[in-house]
Amino acid sequence: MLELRSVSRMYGQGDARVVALNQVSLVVNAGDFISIVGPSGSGKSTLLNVMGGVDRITGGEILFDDQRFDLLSEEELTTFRRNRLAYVFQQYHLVPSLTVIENVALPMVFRAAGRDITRAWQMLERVGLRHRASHRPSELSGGEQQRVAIARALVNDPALILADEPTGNLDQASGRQIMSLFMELNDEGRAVVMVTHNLQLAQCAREIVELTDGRVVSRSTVPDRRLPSLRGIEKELADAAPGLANDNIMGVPPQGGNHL
Amino acid sequence: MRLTAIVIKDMLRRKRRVLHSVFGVSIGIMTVIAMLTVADSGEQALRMELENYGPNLSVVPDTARMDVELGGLTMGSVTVGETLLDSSVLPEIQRVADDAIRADMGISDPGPIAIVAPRLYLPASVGDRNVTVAGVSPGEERAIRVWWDFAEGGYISGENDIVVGAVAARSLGLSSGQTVNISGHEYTVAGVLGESGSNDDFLLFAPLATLQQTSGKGPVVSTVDVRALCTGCPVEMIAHALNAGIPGIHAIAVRQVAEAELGMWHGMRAVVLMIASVTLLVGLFGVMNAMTAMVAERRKDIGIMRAVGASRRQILSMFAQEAILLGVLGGLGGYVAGLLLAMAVGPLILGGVAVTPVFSYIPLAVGLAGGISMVAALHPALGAARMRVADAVRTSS
Repeated sequence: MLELRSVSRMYGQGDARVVALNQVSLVVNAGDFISIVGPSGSGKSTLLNVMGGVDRITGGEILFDDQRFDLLSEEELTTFRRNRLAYVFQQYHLVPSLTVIENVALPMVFRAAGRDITRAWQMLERVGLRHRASHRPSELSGGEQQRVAIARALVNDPALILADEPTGNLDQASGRQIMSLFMELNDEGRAVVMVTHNLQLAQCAREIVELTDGRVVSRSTVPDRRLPSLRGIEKELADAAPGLANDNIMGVPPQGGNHL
Repeated sequence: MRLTAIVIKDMLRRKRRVLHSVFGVSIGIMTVIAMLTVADSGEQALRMELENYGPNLSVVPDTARMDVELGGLTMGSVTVGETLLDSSVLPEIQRVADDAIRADMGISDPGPIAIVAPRLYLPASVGDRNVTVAGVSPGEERAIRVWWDFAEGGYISGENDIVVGAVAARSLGLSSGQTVNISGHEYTVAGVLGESGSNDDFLLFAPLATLQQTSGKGPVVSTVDVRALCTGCPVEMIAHALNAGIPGIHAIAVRQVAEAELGMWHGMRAVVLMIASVTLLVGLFGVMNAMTAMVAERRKDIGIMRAVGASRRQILSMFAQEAILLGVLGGLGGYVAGLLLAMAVGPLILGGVAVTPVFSYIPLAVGLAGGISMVAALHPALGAARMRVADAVRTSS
């Protein structure tokens, strides 16, 4: 479905030049669930952005269903993104002035299909938030906001979901809920590419691609994909930042973000 | 749900900014509308005055002045030609004027169109005071001097009635009903005119026929006022026809002076509008500022919308719709404020003339405000539409 051939992305020029992606090749097939892991600054988000066509590549080529995705004009890319892709961001990125159902229906409006938003209601039902339809995003917890963002991502029935740290701002319980939802969507045949720092959550995918300094350093299959236990997530966090893990055991969400 | 609904919801969320922009637009529109409304009322008053101006034409004997020279020195000048017109010229003036109007305006009605009002000015005395008596044809004179009002009494109804100008009545101590001897002839004061600020204030008006007879001057007149009973009459053309067709007379288009006044008024209006345009321009920059700030605030939202499928054109369209809404609000607000301002200051500027609302300026106000908002929104909106989705979403985190 999606193929990256020796893709490079550089920022700046001369001495200030930064190589965000260096000759990355990657294939995403229908039904794949790929976790992209790597340290900060390794190019994970840039890779997701070029896959989603919101960032242009400076070398190589990208094919989507055998069509040169990287050569499309801005308007063609927008149409393509609207019909075939969906984004889920770490910060949920809901429009604060719109209600939950309006946020879910937003991609339909831009597709000029906003008159009948039955599908938006169905997707909201699917993520279990129909009862929150008339609320504003600010009245929702972080986990709920991310579920709304996922419902919005699903409303145009995309073939590929791109998720950038989708649980990064959530507490463990909410993060598990979201991952469970992604696994469910993947089981239905939708391809998911997810960027994450969390190796435990990365195990939910079918494959893990590791990125370092803009290069793919490993690609491995997850033999027994499963939702991590809360304890497992806490342990990983404790290894990384002991104080933060203790806080989490007390129920305080990481990064001081929204929580249930 | 439609794009417009998203725009409105967003505007409702940013009430303060929206109000700021609306205010900026309104101020500019208010200035323009206030100035236009005052100017309009002024022009209307001037036109009404013109309508009531009286004669369109004044006919006087054709005289010329000739320098008297003696041995290379100019010794003054003398008037050459008749200083009075024979009454027989009156039907001629009527005919030529009517014909000219008929020809120019395509009128087939054979009846008289113009009012021809002769006057005979004669020096006279009341007791030991010198006065000027004007002999008038009562009917025609009244038809031309529509603005005459009476401080007391009424108009000439008999051959020995006179009407006295306000200053003359005061000076001579005359009031209506009194009898007065003018150069040996007894008249009854029928009425005293209200003060008009014109020469009429100093005159005594007697029936022309009586004056011609008692003065022994015979059938002569000093001037003839002509008023065409039609709007937009070709005054210049009538004057030309009279001058060409009747020897010994000189016809002057009186309205020309008033038209020149109207032209000056138009010139003033243009200057005032230019000043208003500067205010509009200042308003434009204000709105542009507010719009730029609004775009900066909404960078994240625009990024989200672009990421979930909004095209650049749709983002531009949203800004255009917002600009139109701001324009409608600013335009209507500006119109109402401008009207109130005009009503407050108009009478002070126009010397008591009441300002009347011009509702046909509403589309102008809304259109102008919409245009300003559109121009103000253009640059920030283009910037927003060109924004890279990745940057917009990233910087918001």
